[in-house]
Amino acid sequence: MTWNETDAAVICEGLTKHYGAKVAVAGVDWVVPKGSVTGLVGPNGAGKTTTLKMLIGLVHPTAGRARVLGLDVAADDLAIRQRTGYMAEDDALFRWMTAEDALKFSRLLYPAWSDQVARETLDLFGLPANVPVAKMSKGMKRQLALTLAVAQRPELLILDEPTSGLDPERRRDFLNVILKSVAAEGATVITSSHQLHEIERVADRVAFMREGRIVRESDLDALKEASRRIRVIFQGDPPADLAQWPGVRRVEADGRLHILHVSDVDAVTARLKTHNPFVVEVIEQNLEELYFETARREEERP
Amino acid sequence: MSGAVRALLFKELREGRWKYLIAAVVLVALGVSIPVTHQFIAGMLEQYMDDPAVPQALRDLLPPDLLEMSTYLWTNWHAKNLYQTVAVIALVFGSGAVAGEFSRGTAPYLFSRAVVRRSVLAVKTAVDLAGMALAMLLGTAALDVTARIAHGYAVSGAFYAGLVPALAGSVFVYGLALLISTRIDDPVKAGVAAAVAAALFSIPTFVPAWRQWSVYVQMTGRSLFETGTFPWLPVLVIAALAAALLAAAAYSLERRDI
Repeated sequence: MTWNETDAAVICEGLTKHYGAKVAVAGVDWVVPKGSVTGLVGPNGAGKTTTLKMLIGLVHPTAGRARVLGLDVAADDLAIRQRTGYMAEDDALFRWMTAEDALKFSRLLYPAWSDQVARETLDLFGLPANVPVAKMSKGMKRQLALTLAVAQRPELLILDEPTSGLDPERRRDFLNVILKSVAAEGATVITSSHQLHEIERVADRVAFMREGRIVRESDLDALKEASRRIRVIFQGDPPADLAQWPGVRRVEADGRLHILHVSDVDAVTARLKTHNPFVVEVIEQNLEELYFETARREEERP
Repeated sequence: MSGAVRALLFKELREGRWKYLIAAVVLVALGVSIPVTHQFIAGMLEQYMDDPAVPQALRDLLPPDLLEMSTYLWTNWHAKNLYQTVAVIALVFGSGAVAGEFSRGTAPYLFSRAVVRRSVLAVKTAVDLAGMALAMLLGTAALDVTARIAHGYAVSGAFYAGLVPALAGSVFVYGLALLISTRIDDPVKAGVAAAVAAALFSIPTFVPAWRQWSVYVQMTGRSLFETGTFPWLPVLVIAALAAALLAAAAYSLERRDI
């Protein structure tokens, strides 16, 4: 699919970042559709944070280009930041600020700022207005940072490891705020996380990053659909030509149990049933399995 | 005034209030102490001059009007305490300005807001320099008031005009420290590096033929005291150098990754 700037919130073309001899981001080509919630996943050091920082203008690309909300990151970084909410991985707010001070500070910076959204979000989290950041727990600081990000009513919300260090209850509230922001404002969200089940809950697209590149990127449902497998236990011997059947990409056998990697689940399932097996079932991979499968595939790549 | 500038002013004034207060207290204390110690210093000098063990050659080194009030105040304030103290204050303020954001971990938050880096630096510089200028003015006023009370002596307008070259020199030192602060993320290390750089600029002070090229010598506003002439050229040259350093700091911050 060819993307134009009216459909895409982010377009990266060969986006590259070197730190001396070290390559942090190695030519990222990536499109994030408007209105999507995209999960950016990958191991530590894959280049996720550097990529997100380049989108907001904190890090200057060595090569390539990126357009965010139709604006060039190299030339229009201020305009991008005015329309983008960003929450850094190790977001350190000013220690002396209370939530009230932080709202006052942010209100002056963002033209679309909403006091109502800020108050509602603070109330949802139960954050006190007059406690300085220095006396807040890590979870409270993350909640305040998210409150500030959503209250500016951004068109794009970039969240780098937003729920790290939060307990399950706070994580749930956190994800609800993100989803509410998407539903209410139609914001595009990019979130990086190691919490794959969370990404799976909120994201409709996923991008796998590894060694500075986006190695796989797709609509999450389509990805799951394409990666479905068939688990089959034959009563007798399996068909000798099973691996050559149309739609079968690969066969893993363990005694009578066979796992079929297929491109056309329905056709292969129907044909398997003609062989009267004990069990035929379609297995759907979750994001964690897809993550490890992608990692394995990349490691096997010559 | 734009919303971004107001937000940054709110932040800088709130964060810096204690350091500005300390700078003002230090300079006010120094300003008060100089007229108050006049009699004590005078007694010491009389004793020194009367001591037969002191060679005549050494006695001749002391200017005969040293204890005359205008000389005493100028030499102890503009020619010593003020420029030395504000140079140190400028080093401390400048080296912490950007490096402090990194050491506290607030730089990614600050620079990912809807502000341009130049504005952040401009507001930091404006607030720090205003804080320094106010502290210098308060210190000088404290000296003036104390001299009136203790000795019935009122300092001249030229004495206050001497604040201008001192401020120009402190902006130069601040610019030097600020430039280093955009590259070294630890304020202590940035302060040490800035102090070394500032010390290098003091070398002309110790070479008689080069003294006029020393920023620190020009900070004392000597011509104002000796002839009542305002040192326009040195002030303009120092201001131009300071502006170049501030511009270099802005460029350096603009170029760096955060």
